[in-house]
Amino acid sequence: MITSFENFQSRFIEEALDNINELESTLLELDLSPNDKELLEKVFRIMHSLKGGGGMFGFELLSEFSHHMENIYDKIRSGHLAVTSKLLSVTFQSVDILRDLVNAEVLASPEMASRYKEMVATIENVLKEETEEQKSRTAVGILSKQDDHSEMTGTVTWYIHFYPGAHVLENGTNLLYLIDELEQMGQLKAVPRLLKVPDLEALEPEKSCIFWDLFLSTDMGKAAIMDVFMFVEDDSTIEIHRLSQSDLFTHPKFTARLDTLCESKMEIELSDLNEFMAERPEEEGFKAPVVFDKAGHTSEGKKVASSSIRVASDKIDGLMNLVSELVITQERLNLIAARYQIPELKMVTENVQKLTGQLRDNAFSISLIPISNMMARFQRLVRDLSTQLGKRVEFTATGTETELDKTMIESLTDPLLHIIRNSIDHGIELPDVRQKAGKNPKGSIQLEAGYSGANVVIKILDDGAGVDCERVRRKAIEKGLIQEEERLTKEELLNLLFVPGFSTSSQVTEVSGRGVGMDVVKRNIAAIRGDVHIESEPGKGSCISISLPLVLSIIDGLLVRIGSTQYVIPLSLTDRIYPANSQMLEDTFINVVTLDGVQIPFINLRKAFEVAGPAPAKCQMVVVKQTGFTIALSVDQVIGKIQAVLKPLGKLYHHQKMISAATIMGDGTIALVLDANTIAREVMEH
Amino acid sequence: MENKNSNNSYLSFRLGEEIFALHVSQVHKILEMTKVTEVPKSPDYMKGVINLRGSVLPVVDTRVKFGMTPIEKSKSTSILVIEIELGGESVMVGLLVDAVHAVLKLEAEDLLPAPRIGNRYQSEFILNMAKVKDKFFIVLNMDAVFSMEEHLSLKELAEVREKVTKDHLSASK
Repeated sequence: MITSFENFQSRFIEEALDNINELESTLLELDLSPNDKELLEKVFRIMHSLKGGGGMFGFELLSEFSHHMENIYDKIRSGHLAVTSKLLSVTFQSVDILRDLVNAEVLASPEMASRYKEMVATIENVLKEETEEQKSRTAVGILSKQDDHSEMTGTVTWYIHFYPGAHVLENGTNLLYLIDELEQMGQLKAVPRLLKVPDLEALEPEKSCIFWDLFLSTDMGKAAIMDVFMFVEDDSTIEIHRLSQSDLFTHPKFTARLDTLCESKMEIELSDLNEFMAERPEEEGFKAPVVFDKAGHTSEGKKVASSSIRVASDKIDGLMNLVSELVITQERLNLIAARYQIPELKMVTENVQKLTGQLRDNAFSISLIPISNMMARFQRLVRDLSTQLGKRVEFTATGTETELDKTMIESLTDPLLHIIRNSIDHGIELPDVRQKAGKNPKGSIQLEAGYSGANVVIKILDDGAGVDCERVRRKAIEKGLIQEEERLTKEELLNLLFVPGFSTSSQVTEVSGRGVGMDVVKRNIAAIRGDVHIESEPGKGSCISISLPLVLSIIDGLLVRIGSTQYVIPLSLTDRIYPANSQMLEDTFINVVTLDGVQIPFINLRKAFEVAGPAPAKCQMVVVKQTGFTIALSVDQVIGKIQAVLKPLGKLYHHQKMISAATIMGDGTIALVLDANTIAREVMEH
Repeated sequence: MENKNSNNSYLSFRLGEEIFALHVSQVHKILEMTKVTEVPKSPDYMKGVINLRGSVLPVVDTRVKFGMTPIEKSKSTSILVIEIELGGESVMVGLLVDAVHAVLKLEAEDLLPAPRIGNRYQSEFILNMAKVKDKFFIVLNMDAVFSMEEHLSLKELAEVREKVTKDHLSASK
């Protein structure tokens, strides 16, 4: 039993986090259009779900906190309060707290309790301040009048017919909580009805067969009553009738009548109570009932088929593994087909190969998620930081539908946050500085994402001050990274920004630049086999582009042999292959070859890998091209093209940087996958 | 019942002239020697990688790790596939050994704690001293062996074992 509850809990956490993310992005929208009623409703709805779910699954603090938030947004919703940037700021901070409140680890930490208290106090303060401040303004009539204002005044008696759908219990809803909630709103008489309860044998305990007649006198209005049923209204039939404009419970006759009705009759008809309505002369007569019956009569199951489903990530991992196995088996089949040269076998093999390829692409696309998933965090950062620094920044993003592997998105978020932080802190100037320079006082940061060949390229462009290369040079000399007399190209100077321990900000600020900076960004991105590149124009701005391989675990590769070992070079990097002879490589003093009239630095991989034995007379050069460098690798022989399923070499080979993975060949032997980037870098450095 | 059986079972193997033991729960498989793909630019005791049913298994020349000459392939050369804990992660690794000996059933009283004699540095790698008919084997702590990059000394381990044997003999007389 405990495990199933824990199951629910973990599912709730997942859902809550989704909700919180949605809340954050809705708030960001609300920031842009504070009068949008729909957005407000959405915010309120999310808070309400968090409150309800939190209470149900044992996250009391979450529930309590959301309740505070809900209060604020209820006031806004009802027109008692307007959205201000101060209120939004507090809400954003609250979003952070909400995230912590579903995180058991953080929740258990001692400072959480004080942070929580502090935040609640802040919220209450802001609420009070804002209410008072805005009250004076309300007098002038800024706030819109609520249309159902008349209902808000005085106590009204309602008759609610609540007929839960048969499947309402499947969501984990406890119907009694709803009744409890109603009871808190005013005086309630709840009459449970069991008419349709079947015999014990036919009874399905998971299906609800109870319904209620509820009599409630409250001053809270119809909308508040509907809110109580928010989670069940889709599946249930809920009718709300106004019985009287006054509190009928104060009439002993009414209560007495109710009691007799409950006992005597199976179903209460409104007509039975007509006399009470008639008795009240101030009532404008019987109004047409407001019927909320969203479910219609198709209460069997869900009506709207969802366009996406939630799948546990280990199921996807399992699928990936199977596809990887299949690709390996496919390579084996290719080998066999090539050996026996049977036309029928060859045909089938080709067909299976085609299908395997499609299956591979399909399976991979499942684990891809669009980078728009990260955007809320970036927008949030831009908003918070620009406010804090007194800068005005507009953040736009294009190509956010570009998809990347889920794990890549995760490891990409922090570097991107850092880059954006840098752009705001160091790049974008203060508004008056910008104005003097003839620029728009509002700076702009753009994120551009898109596919480029086998890579995904993400660019962050700002129209800020750009990098002052002269300052970079002086700083580098000061730090002893370069010599005084050394002359570097602009590109080389900019690349110094990625050197560990380099930070151009003359002052360590809270925001960025603690000596850890771009070098960490570079390292993190290199860890997912990506590359960072920076361009900058003083006075005009900078552009940092990140290029990442599309998929992590299966690549198209060029199979080569060095000594007795087979290696794979990612095909996306290879440019051309040239014949060469070993003697020529031995003789060159500096490691540069001339291919097609172009001088290209090369690496003799036999030497680099310390392969024993004499080199073959003839060898081949594979030219590898990547943003920033072109380099030739000498190999004994190019064998052909293969699909390589990348398998990690494991922790015992953690110091092995030149080889990024291994792959299993069709015949069961292992080929090693070269990390061309690292090899090139090592060579450049020596 | 099976659990009880495997709980006191130890697998012994030979490196040079020295016999060591590992708890069977740590040993996943025993493989014949196969072709090992060498990974360039690795520590000398990292022999290379092999294909273990579709995954890549690093193989260690245990002789080199224990400060001896590299293994020479013979009929009895085997690969013990074991699971170790490395930096909080469990990692599979293949150990090249000269020969696999036997499965020993050891009762709790046959297992002595690691001695506090000799080089303390070496005794870190000893989980227990196992006594079988007045003879002693070292039960290795493989997690500790692989937590450091340097070599061990088989000679010093052998000396520790001899000392334990001697002490035991003189005590029983």
